[in-house]
Amino acid sequence: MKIAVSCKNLTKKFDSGSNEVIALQGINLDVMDGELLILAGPSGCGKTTLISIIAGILTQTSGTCDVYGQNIHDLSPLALCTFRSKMIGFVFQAYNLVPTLTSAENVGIPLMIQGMGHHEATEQGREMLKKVGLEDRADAFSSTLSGGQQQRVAIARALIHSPRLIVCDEPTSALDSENGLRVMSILKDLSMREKCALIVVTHDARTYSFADRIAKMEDGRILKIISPHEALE
Amino acid sequence: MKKISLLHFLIGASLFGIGGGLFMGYLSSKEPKVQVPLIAPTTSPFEFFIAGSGIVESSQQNTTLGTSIAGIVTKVHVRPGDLIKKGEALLTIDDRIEKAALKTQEANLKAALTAVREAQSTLKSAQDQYSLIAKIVDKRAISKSDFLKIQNDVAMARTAVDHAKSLSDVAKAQVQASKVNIALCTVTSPLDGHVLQVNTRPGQYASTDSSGSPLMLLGPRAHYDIRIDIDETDAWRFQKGAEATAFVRGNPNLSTKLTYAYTEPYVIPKQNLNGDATEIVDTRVLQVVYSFDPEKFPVYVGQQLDVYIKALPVAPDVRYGGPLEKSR
Amino acid sequence: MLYVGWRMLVGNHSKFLGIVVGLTFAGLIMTQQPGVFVGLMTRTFGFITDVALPDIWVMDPEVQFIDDNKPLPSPTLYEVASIEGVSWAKPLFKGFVTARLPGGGFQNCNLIGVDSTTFIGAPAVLLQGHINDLHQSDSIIVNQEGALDKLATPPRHPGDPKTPLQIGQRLELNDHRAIVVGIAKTSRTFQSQPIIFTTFERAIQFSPPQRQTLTFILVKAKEGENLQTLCDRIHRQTGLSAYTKEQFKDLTIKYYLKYTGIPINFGISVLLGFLVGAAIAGQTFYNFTLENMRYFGVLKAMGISNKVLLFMIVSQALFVAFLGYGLGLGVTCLCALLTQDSMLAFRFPYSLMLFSLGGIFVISAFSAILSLRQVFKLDPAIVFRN
Repeated sequence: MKIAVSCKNLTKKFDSGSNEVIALQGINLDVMDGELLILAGPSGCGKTTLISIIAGILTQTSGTCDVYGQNIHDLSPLALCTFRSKMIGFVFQAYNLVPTLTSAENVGIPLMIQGMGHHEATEQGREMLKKVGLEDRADAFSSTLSGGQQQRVAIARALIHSPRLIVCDEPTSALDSENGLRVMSILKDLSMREKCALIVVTHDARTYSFADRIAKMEDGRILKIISPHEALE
Repeated sequence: MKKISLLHFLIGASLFGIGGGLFMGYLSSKEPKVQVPLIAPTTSPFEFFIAGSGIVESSQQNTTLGTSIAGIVTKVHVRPGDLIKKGEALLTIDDRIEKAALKTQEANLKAALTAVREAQSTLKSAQDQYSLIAKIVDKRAISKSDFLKIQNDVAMARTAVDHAKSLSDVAKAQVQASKVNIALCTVTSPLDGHVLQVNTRPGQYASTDSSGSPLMLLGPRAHYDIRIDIDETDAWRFQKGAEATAFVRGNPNLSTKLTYAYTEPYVIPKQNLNGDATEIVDTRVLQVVYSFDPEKFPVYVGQQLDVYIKALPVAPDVRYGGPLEKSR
Repeated sequence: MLYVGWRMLVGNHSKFLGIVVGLTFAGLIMTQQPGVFVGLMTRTFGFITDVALPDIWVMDPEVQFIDDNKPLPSPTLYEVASIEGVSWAKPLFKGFVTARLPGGGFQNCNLIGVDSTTFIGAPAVLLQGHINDLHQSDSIIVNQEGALDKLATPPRHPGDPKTPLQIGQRLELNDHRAIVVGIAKTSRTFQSQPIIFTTFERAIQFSPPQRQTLTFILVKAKEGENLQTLCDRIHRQTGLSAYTKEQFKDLTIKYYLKYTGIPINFGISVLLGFLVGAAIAGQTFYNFTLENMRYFGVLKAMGISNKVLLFMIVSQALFVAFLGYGLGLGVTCLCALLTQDSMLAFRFPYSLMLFSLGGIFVISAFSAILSLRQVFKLDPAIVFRN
């Protein structure tokens, strides 16, 4: 098993005026290829900060974070953009689909970012929607979809460009349990099939069963890394 | 599809608007119609030239006709434009007084001649008597005083004849004078040429005073002169004998080369102005005269022509400072 | 990605229409108002435009604009005609005369006297009559606007239409009899007085007695002659001012710009329109960006480069600019069409089109820059904050 993400002694401080807020203090975490890791913990414990740094959209104060052997914070801004666009898929709590585009077009966006023409990208998006079971809604505007459908579209979007790492922020918290479980199972299936690493930030205990490991965080530290069985107990 | 159709509408409307704008631009940038002059203006045949207007006149200058006899005009024999020969009758002045005078004079002459004959017969009878006495041998047959008387009678009769003869000579001369007067009542042309102007009508009084308008204006027809005014500021540029061309106003295709005649060396106030009474003379002009053959050029005396005279170029820095750029 | 940007822009109907309407308004004000301004300014030299044949106008050095009449002594004509490079020079009388109308009213008119042989300076387009008719005694040609309105016979009953001046009718110009023989189409002038054309000599008879009568000398340059050089030469040899047609137009415009309040008033109106348009368009476009900030953040997180973002936003701005410009121009065209034959001055040269295009693009660029600043500043980390 390859190490997908390796964080060493990761610290992040935010300057908000006079007082300094320490968001992360000395995180050490490895995520394996093909693994589904859940980050759990109360609000403000630093989960979101951690995945932001791993995804390359925040810069740590100290420590290192390697993704597939690349110290991403050594990259130039442009190279980092390219890196993100190729290596990382995102799933958000609020889906963040562009409401004025159809589902298929929304799915195709990562390909368009890489420079593909929108016809081709939309066609591929349509293909990808089949995998999440939404081929019949491919031409619907995303604002007309239900929450579960939107999140499935978002998953298709996160996966279309075959990223090596998928970062999910509370993917189920806006959904009812049925839809939440469905979304999680799709995520799990697809990431297994693609053999990519999956980091999921969640509060939702129902999703723990899908994880390979669960990292419990509090006050910017990882308290413990436990198996789903332990967590459920 | 509603959105798309709205968008299409907006794009279409914009394109239409831009098209309209371009059309308005086209309309606005369209040059206004350029006037085509009815008659093309004449242009100079020379590179450096003096332009001016010239007035046509006859070469020997025009003759203003006068009369030596004042009187009422009875007949005008010619009309303006008529060709005339020297000696041809132009107008007749009432000659009845002169004719009456002639008749009186002729009667006087006849009487004088009768008087001569009477004196001659008196002389003859005196001479006859004298020769009769002279043949008498005996001087005593006649008294001395009778003899002297007869002798004196002869001498007196001879003087009377002389007197009568000289009186008849006077009468003859008077007849002659009356005849001349009658002849003068018919005014004849002093030249070969043509009539330019007739200012008198039958019944008008023709005066010997020449200060008024002339009875007639006569022009010789040999060739015409054209008098050109050159502004004093350009006068220095004129060279005697310079080439010149005249154009008829109203037909730029009609032009003729002019031959230099003479220059009037006295610069005069410009008179050929627009004819307005309020015009004030503010410049003086040099008048130069060229001539041309009127046979080949249909113009009339007094007509204005556009004239271009070849002239010296204006040297750089002559006027208003600084050397002038060469144009080409 | 430009497609995505375009769809983002167009997708929100009301916002999109808001931006387009704002820019349309700006486009309208930036085309219509300067159009009227240019139209008015063009009228100031309408007469120079009409007298299109000569290249150069020669006049007294003190003349400041076309209606400034400072006549020259008449021999000057031949002095100018004698200058090297001059093909021909013709006199033009321009003055004012009081016309007594057939109905008894008085009207101050522009009196133009043209060379009686060539008629250079006479109107190019005659609606009625023939230019040759000016050879008739006492004949005049009147411009159409004058004939229809100011020289027309007032109606007998108030409210009825006026009877236009017609060919054959008699006017009294300064106590001289004048017969109308033609109706001419001329450009409108700024003072919009009736224009009366006649021959040079007759114009002098009609106008009040004056010492000098040669208002302008119209000069045609010989072919190949540099007009500026010829102007300089005329000026140096005679001491008179010689302007090319364009220079004389500029001189006239400058006079009006300097001594009338028109440009300032119109300038303020145009500037205000520009500002209002900029404010509306900038505001709506900026709002649109702000509302889409979330999606821009997502795109940034997904690794879109700033360059592509720039292209997206600039193309959005260009697109709305195009629409706003086109629609504004369209409305202006409609206005112009509706007011075509009225008194409203309107001219729309290509340069004005470029000017308003530039204005619209400045507005768009301004709003695009505002938006870009926000988007560039945007921290993609916001995507994880709800």
